[in-house]
Amino acid sequence: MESAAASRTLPRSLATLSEALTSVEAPAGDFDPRGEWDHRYTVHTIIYAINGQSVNLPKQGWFNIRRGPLRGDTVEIACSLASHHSFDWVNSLEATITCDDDALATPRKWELTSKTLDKERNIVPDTEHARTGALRKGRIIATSGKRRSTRAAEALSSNWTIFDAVQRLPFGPTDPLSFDMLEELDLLKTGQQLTYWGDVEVELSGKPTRLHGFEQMGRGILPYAYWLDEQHRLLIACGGQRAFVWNPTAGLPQG
Amino acid sequence: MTVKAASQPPLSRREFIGASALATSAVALAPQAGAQRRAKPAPTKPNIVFIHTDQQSLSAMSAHGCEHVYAPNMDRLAARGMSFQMSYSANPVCCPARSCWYTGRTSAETGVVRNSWPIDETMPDLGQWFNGNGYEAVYAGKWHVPGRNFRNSFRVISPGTGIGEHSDGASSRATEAFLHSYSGDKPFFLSLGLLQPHDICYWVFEHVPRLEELPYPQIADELPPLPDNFEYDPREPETFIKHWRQRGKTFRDNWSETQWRYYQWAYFRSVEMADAEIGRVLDAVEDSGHADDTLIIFTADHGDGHARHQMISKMYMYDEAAAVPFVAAFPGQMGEGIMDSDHLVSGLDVAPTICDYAGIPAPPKARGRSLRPVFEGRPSAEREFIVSEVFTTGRMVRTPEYKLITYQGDETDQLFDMRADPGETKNLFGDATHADTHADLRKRLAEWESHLEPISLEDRQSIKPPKPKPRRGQNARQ
Repeated sequence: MESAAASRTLPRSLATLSEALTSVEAPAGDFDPRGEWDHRYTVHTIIYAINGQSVNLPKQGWFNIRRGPLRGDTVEIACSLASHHSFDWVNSLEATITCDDDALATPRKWELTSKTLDKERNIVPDTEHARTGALRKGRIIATSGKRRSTRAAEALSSNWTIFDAVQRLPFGPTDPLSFDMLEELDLLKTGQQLTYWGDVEVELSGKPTRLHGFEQMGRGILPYAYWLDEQHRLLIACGGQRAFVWNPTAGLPQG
Repeated sequence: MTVKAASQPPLSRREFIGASALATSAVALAPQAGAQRRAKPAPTKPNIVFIHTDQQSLSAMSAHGCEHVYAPNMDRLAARGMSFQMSYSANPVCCPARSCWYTGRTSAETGVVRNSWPIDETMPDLGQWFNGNGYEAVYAGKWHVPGRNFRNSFRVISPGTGIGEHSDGASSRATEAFLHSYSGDKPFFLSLGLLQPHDICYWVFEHVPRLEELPYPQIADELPPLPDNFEYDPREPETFIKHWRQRGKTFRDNWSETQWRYYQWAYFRSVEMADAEIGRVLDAVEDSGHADDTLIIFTADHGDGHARHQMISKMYMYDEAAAVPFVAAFPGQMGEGIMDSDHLVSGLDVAPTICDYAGIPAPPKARGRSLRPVFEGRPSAEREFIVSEVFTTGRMVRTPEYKLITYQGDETDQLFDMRADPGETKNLFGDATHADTHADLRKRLAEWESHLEPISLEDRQSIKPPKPKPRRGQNARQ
């Protein structure tokens, strides 16, 4: 376990994750954020020791996000999130989101299913649920049993589609992006701002790699950071007590 | 004088005396101003949703005037029911507070005097109690009552983990799914244990060293100012100074002003995280068609220092740690939009209250009282004081006017005039003009304690807390 203090020269979000970064293999080759892609991440929780001198990063699950082909002005994003809990139970989320190919990957239409799986991976009774939603005429229309309509900000993103959006943003100082965020497609978190932070060189599996950072602030979240490689590939997203760290095999059956 | 709901069993003499200690000789005959009578017949066996957050101070509620937090869902719940200004944890520590909710007994009686001390195994919990009385008892999220496997007491639909950001979404989603899916014949008692804003503890651990510069300059204008009661009266009990100020777990003497303000900012964001999860559950109660037959109660196990008295965390009796939200809503069955500043409420009241609504007796020797008459604006016995405990020796006596904090064997107490000094900045202990008040509160405490049946401290010390288990999720697969 590495002392957080030893990495003080790094931005805080990366310093916190320094132990996890030692096992990240920087992906090689070109990357087209506007094309089709399939990213996988290990989900860690971030637990500081009470004296602040060390940090524990237990693996708590995995996240997979896939961008499909562009269809006119929209694109389909598919997400799978598995988070492990006590008793070796798993909370599973599956979502498909049709979103605009714009700066915020504005969600237009979505479907989400959630369920709890027990140790044998059977669905725990009464824990499977599906909801749908859409953004229409400035309102979020959500259906989960009943239809519910909420006024939406002009600029809207989600905590998942922003994984797509941030990869298409230019590196370098620009005006902050202001928006509201649908967390997990139903929790509206208002007053978000995304700004370019700058770049920094880190070692990923011993290989020097330049990362570019964006920071997000807003209601209902602690400061959030996105770290991308020079090809605009999102490698790390982290904030508060949770981090998504690049891992192409996360969630895949072990050979 | 009515001191217990009619649905509860007759009181033994001992219980009656204990209950009488809570009541005055006067009965308030008029409903509280603004309270509305029931508009429609009450369901005989309503569903009950009990939501609790972890480490949420009453003073971190926008519904009670906090301008630095945006919590529209807690606000809407308060707007649909009653929210109490004088609401206190029965013990401002995680496990003890939960043991009180789920048994109706004081922590000295449950045995959970500290985190990880196991509960008296013979004492029924609300899961067992409701299952045995015609309800389906269901649990999602953080439990944290040591010595009691909640899978033996409830139908667990989401067991949670130790980190709010990781656990709460899964717990609220399972709760949402249950509300939409449940088709059983029995009414349900559904508990949801959210962890947030407890993650602020990890923020504090991360920020142990002094911080001179704000790491995120873009939020500089958003930082709350230092609270009015940031400075504290140093005339504190030696016990408190030794265990809370000097050991550093709950006090910081090296933080910069920026750091204190940034800490508050982070705390309020964590409260907002809890608020969003509560919103998901409130939506589900409504959208699943359960709104009219479901009582919702929302509270927290304890608060957080958030810079008041230069304190962090919990485990002490200043209001920032001991005063917690208590909101109840039941459409058509109680007043709406009432911010109650007249009634004292304790975490001990949860069990008697929900049992009263369920039409079942409260668990044996429950020490609190049903708040149903208060919710419904009906005449009820006025309550003169409540008592909270912390660890083995700390006690708080709260009346509508005063608060006494005392530690057994300590020569110094704290006495605050809560109307003139709600921030608890001037200790009146030793002030001759308040000597009678101090003596009266000490007397009430002695009376209250004389009716309790605490587990012997010697027995407690012979019980070894269970060995720590590996941190949850450490063995999780990728």
